[in-house]
Amino acid sequence: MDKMDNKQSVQRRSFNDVLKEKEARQALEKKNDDGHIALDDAKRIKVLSPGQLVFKRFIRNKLAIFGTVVIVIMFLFSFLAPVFYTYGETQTFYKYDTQYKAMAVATVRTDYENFEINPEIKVDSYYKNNVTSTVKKIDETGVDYELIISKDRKTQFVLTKLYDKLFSLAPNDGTLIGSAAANLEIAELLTKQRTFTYSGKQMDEGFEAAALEAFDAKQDEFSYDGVDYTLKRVTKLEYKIVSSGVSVVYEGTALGSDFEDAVLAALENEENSFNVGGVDYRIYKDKGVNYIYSVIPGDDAMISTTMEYSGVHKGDNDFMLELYHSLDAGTFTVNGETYTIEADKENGVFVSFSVKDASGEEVGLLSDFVINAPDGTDTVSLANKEVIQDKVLEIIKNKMDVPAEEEDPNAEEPAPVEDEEIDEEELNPEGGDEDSAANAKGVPIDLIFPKRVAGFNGVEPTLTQEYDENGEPVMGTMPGRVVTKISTTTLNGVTQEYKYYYISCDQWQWLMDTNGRPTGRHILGTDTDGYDVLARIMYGGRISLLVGFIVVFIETLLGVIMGGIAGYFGGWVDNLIMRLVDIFYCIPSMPILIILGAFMDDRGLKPIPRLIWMMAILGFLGWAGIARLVRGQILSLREQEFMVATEATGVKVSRRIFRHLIPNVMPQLIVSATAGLGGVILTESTLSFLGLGVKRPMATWGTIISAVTSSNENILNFTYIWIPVGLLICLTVIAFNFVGDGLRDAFDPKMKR
Amino acid sequence: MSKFIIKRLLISVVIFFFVMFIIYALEYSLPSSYVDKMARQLQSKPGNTKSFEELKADLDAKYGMDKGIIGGYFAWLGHMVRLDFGDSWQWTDTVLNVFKSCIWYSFFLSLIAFIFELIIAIPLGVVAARKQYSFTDYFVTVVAMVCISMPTFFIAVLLKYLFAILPSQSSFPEWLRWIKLPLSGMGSARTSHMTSGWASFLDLAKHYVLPILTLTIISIGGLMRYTRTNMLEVLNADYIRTARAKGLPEKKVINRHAFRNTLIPLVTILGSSLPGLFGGALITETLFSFRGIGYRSYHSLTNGDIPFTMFYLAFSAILTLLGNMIADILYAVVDPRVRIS
Repeated sequence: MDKMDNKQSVQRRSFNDVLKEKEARQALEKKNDDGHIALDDAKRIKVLSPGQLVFKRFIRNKLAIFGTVVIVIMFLFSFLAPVFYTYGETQTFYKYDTQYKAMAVATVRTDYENFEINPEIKVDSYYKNNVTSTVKKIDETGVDYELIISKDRKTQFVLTKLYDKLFSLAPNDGTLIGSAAANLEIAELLTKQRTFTYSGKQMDEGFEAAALEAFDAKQDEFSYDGVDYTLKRVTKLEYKIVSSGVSVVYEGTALGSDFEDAVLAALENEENSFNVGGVDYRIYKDKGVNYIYSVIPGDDAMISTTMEYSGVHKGDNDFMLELYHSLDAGTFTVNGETYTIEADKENGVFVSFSVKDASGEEVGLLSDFVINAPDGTDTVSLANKEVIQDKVLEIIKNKMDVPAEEEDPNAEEPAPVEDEEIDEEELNPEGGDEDSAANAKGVPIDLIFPKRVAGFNGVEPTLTQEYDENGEPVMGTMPGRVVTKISTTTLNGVTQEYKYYYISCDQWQWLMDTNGRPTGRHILGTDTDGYDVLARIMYGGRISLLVGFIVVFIETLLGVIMGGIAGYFGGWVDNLIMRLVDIFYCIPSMPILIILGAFMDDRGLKPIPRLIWMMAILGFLGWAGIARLVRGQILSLREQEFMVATEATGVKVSRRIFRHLIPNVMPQLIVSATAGLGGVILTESTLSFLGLGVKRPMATWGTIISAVTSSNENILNFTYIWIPVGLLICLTVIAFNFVGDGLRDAFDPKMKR
Repeated sequence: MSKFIIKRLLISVVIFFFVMFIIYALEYSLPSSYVDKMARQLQSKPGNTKSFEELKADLDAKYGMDKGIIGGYFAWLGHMVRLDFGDSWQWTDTVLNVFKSCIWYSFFLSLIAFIFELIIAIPLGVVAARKQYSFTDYFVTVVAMVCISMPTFFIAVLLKYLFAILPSQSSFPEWLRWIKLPLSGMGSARTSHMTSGWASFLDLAKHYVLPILTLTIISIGGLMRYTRTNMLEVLNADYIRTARAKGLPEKKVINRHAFRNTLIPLVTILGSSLPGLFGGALITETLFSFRGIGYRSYHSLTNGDIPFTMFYLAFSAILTLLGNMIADILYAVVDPRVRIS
């Protein structure tokens, strides 16, 4: 051992010496170098390692270099660029924009609506329900007020006409005085039994005695307690006792002869109201009995009107009460402020009062032409209400209704690609401007809005109000349209037609920024979900490249294992695996992928599991080719001397496979994997385009294209999205193919074609 | 030779058996949503007294879904051998009737595209090989690569845009209007008004143009490259050098000596793609709503129409096997050096 060590060290030392000498000589030569190289100079021959050779051959190939550069750029673009590009993959963007939509619904109201203006007085629903019919009665008879009487006649409400179409409902402080009758039937006398049957109040014995006395005396008339009565023969055995003149049966205290005379006069003149001592009385006939009520209206509990007030002090009961009661007077004072009322429009169609404050500025509008926002809230400005009133009046007078088209709920649904049977006639030659199409219907109207500007302020846009030098908001006009809709309702067999006027115009809205054109903010615009297209292209590239690499990795792994086993062991294992390869070669993979994609759709899988499944299936269906390649390579390598040598020197089987066989298969594997990458990216994008691969909202190049090519209009409008993305796919696949070709040529120059 | 063919045929039958078994097992294992759907429809019909499970069991029995994978597969095989593929659920007709109604559309689509492919790709490949490393060569190589690398759907959308959507715009120049082609489908809405056969034929032909163009574009790249590669190999062969050495005109060298030998691999690969002409173009036909076998199959596949799907997959598998067999046989026929063992 020692000897050997010595010998080796001696050798090493001497070898080192030789090297040193050589280096010294070379240094000297370098120093003395005068540009001449001897024929046998070692510098003339540059020996490259096999790897260097491959590299050198590779970089000589222009197309391969182009491919490499493209791939590097793609990787930077899809993996590095999103780090600096702040927008996310599924970040939804919003913007201020004008949207043409309904801003008001107007109609001439004919229904009476009750406004409770005194919360202290409770109004039973019985009275409310009777308001409409009582209003009708007042309008028909032309009286000032009418009583709404409860069923037991104990309580009454007074409905007073304050103005045309304006009524106030107040509790009656007066009472039911009693019932009155001229020639009232008091009782029936059965002559045989000499008994009395009273139809009303029971009379005392003196009355009965007086009556019998008169009967016995065959007198027709008798008098008792200051009242005259008449006996009227019905049959021989039956007489009726009727009080002559008027008789009042009081509920409470008697009111004296003045009152009774007035009652009699009213009854004889067939009038139902009279006034005694400054108090109004009303006579209501019910089932043949005249009931007399005194009418002393209390505080207003409710206002019943077809009109609606909007403006300042809306909901302020004092203000409203004063307003309602002052329509005739034209002026009123609340809380020390004086308001004037002007009847604007009494045109036979609707009435309208504008309320102005002391400075003459309009503060409110009371009208039965009701204008509300489409959601029923009173948010339309007074200025616009005036404009709308004028315009609708014009429409009604000139009869220029434009009926609104029925909205088709399916109208906006784009037809699915596969069901398209569109012929040239169906194509929209104009490209379709939605706003102008919607605007074309209806009577034009100019609405007044505060002038606003949507400004792009750094990241988010802002909607700013314009002000003039006095700090007053600047008003501007917006073109709009009025269309007419008629709705019919049938209630209790009565069909009523209501005519509504829908006013639409462009309005500023905080909208999802969908299908946005390219701007400084979104270089490639936004897509149908308001996502930034450029960001999605980056993330889409990420998915496409990742899918490509993972699938190819799975394919290669499976292929190497199966092909390695088949090639190394041979015999029946080889036979079995190769038949399996034949079978997998024969399976139509695209249909299988489509079936599984549709199946995953059916199951409603989330995007991420879907992606994983898709990659697994793609990898599982694609290993056969690589297995065949590996097997063939290993079969030929197995017979070569170096493998015989490994066997002879007793190298372990696993080491023989992984250290000696696989590295020799590597070049072919790299080539086929690189070339396969392009194919996988194509398959993935096709599946995603068909909606069977990666799903929105996850971005891939396929889904980006499919989102903007769902209709002809989209294809036309979004060329700046689908053409670049399509070219991006194409470029990536080309790059992988070029690199694959370049690698093949570099690894195996003899095969260069 | 006949022994070789018979052997290949038998192997193909065995492979077919296992391929279809895998496919059947896959189809069987998927919840048959169509049966579920049908059972639900029947359940909601008035006068129905059966429960959903009973209805589903009835339908399963009707469609042979109740026999288990193995039993069901053999039952299917038995029917298949007798060319009984059942009724298509999607197209409400027997599978074979649907097949018969659409196969020829697909065949002519593929055939015409195939002819164009031959006419364009082979000469370009030969030219590229003759002038290796020239501009022409690079140009052909790049064009071939672009054609290979373009996704079908992108070509389809691009062609629709260029030839159907743009020409129907009002801004499109009037003198170029004639290039306008139908967007998709197989007949214009006016077809019913066409009295003359010629007009309806012309209409149909118009509908063929874009799908054919798409198929041609996606297929020429591969053939161009293949032709170029094989031509280069032949051009580097000794006998070409000999031919040149003995002073033959270049035309003769290329046409007689080089091209004829290039034809050996070409004929093989083209022969093997002949059966594929019947298979239709799944994606292209779908994208253009071209009512061929590919379009029908796509909708059957996505809608769980098992009878038609099984038929289509079996048909595709047979075509693939047939193609492989033809390739092997042709190789032996065309090249006498290949020994049959």
